[in-house]
Amino acid sequence: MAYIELKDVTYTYPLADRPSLSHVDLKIEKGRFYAVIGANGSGKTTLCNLIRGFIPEFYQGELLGEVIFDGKPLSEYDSGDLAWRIGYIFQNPFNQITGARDTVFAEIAYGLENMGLPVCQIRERVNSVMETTGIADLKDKNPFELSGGQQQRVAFASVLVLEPDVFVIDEPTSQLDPRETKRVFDIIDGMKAMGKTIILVEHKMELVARYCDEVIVLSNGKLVCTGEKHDILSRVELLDDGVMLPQAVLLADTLRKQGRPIQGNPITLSEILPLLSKQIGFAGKEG
Amino acid sequence: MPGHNVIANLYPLTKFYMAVVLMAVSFMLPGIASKLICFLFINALAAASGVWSVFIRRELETVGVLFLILFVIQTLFYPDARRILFTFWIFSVKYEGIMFALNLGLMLLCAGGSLIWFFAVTKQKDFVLSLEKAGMSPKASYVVLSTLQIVPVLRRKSKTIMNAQRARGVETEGGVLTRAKVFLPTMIPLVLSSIAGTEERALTLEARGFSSSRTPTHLEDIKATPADKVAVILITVAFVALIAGRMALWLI
Amino acid sequence: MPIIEFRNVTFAYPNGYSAVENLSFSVEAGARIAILGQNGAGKTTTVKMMDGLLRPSSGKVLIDGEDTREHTTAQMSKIAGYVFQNPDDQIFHNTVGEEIAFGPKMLKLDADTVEEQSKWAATICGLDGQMEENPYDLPLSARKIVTIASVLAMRTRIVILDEPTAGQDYRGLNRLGAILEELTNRGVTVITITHDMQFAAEHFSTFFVMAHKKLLRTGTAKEIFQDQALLDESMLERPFASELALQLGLGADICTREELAKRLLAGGGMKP
Repeated sequence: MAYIELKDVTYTYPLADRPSLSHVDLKIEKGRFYAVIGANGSGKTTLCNLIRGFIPEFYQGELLGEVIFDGKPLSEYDSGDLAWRIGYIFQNPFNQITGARDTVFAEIAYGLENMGLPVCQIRERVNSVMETTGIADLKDKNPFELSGGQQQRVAFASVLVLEPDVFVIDEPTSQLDPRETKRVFDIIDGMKAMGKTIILVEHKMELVARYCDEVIVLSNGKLVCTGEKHDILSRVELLDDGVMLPQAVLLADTLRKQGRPIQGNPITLSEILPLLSKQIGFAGKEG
Repeated sequence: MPGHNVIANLYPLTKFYMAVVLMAVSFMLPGIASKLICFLFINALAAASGVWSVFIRRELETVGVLFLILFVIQTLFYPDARRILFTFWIFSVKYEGIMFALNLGLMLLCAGGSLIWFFAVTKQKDFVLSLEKAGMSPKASYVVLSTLQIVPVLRRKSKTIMNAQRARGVETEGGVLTRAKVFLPTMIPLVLSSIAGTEERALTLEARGFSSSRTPTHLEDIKATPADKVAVILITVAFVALIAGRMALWLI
Repeated sequence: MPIIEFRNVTFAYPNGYSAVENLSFSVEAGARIAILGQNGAGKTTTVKMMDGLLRPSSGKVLIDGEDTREHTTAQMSKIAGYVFQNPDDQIFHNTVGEEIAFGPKMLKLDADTVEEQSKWAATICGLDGQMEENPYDLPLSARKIVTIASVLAMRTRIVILDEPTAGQDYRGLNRLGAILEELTNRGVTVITITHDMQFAAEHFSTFFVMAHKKLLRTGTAKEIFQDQALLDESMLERPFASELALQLGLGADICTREELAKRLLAGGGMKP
């Protein structure tokens, strides 16, 4: 049985005239890394809110269908305690600083305090998560005085420290520069290595192609397709749904249209490189 | 803020009790002399807690200014004054006015001073935590703490917004009228983005288990010690003695 | 006469911390320039000096021949329009239409011109159908486009964009590309700060590379992406096509996917 399952889910926000998601059936397996892609307004954030249970717990509106998590409907969980099972991180770094605490260390510890963990264990866990997220040197800083990228890493640390099984991450890098983006993806890669289930909304296709396992494509509130990343990302027709595709796929498509198809479904630079050098043969020798 | 000072290290609620008692006393004391003694006592208390310089600066900046204004106005314009001390130009200095100003002013110095002393020796977050432990809702304590944190952030943000509006032709450099016109273009984005921020911050709190039913622990916990018991008893005894003394004087 | 000229410009905050040092460059009218560099390199400080939001601590900034120190920001905004990174710092009207019309109104243009310029800006930004909507009901990426339209409606001769691609999807990126085309056709000078090397390579011909408060180099895409030492120092990565071409040994002068495909197809060596 799937770890998380959406069964014919349709959801309409209050006052909205049409559903943000309609008739979505989706299965998410434990320990896999899913990327959710699609145009803005296609329902990606709504999907995140559903899986985390913020819909219907926090957002009213009309919800049909059911979300199952680890064997029982989400509605049967104590919503206050879902934080320990499903971690949630989103786009705006600034709004993910709670404001309840005045140092980075205390900010990260805040969730564990709410969890009621003994103080010595809190210290241990916070120290270790600050190492893995590379923010140990920010320990005593006021979280509001950090750069966006640093705040986003504090947000990751604050959720990571709760050790949830699932991470729902909504466009974490759209406001960050390439260096900070890389650091965030290193953290996500670390989560994957820990065997966590990850659901990530991301526009940067090169990163999607490189890091994730599975891809979920949404368009206009509908699930277009889902599956292994090579199968999905090489579907050039997705461009018509406003979905960006990796550069390697677009290059392969141009070559295919000119009558020079590439074998296989390369989606990253390191995948297309050997295929090209094998096929063009002359690479680096004549040039 | 001092690290090992005995008074400063008392439990926030003990210090708060002290401040409240001092305020009550300053309202209760009869004459200028007794109020002056009370004010000197608060100064001594601040010095003993190791925060006198902070205390006196804040006291002068706030209540001190009020005292000065009060003194000038009452001295010169006290109605129905009988004793005129001296007169210069169109002003006359009135004895009753001076006495009234000193009485009221010293009372304010004492009452305000006790609060200023309290906040000088108590971290706001410790005070809030002690209130939470005494039964205040965690939601209320979150609101207080986050407001304290977010005010400086909003101040910075309004500066950015003002720059963004200047860049599209809103004149911010100039007289009162010019600056009044800037009000809407800067306030609306500030308020709207704060509202949008509130929703996301609520989700952030949920994601940190804010509404969990578990009993929270506290990383920087504070506990009342035997010293607090002693302090509370001493303060109470002194307070009761003062009331008794005041009533005795009354009766006699 | 260049439309933007920096003469030995240094900017330092009152506390003495400098953000850019000894910048000297000039930009000809109608140029389209991408400023590249990591955060903290001094990019935003540099563009803020172009519309008088910041004024140089030493040296001179001349915009269309005017010294920015002698004018208020609001006056400079008639020449240089600046779209801030965060749209929420800017939007304050109930409808997209009013928001866009605000800039031209501030310029005290007559009602017909305000209408005409707003319509033009809305059209090239693809907002025609959303003029009555509340900007805050739109997603962040769309609000960014609204703020771009609001600045374009002022018809300034210089347009400065700070991270326009952040959070944009495929259609948003295409829209930005079209906006740049329209501006260039009208002879508008465009200065863009961007981290998106792919977007920069596809839409810009001139690059300013900044690192540690200095302008390291100005040049074409080919020049920049062939300069390994420069890329190392500024910690920039080549766009996909350029990196792949280099690794294939096809030479480092390829910057876009189209160029690479052409080279691969023309290279002759490709087996059918």
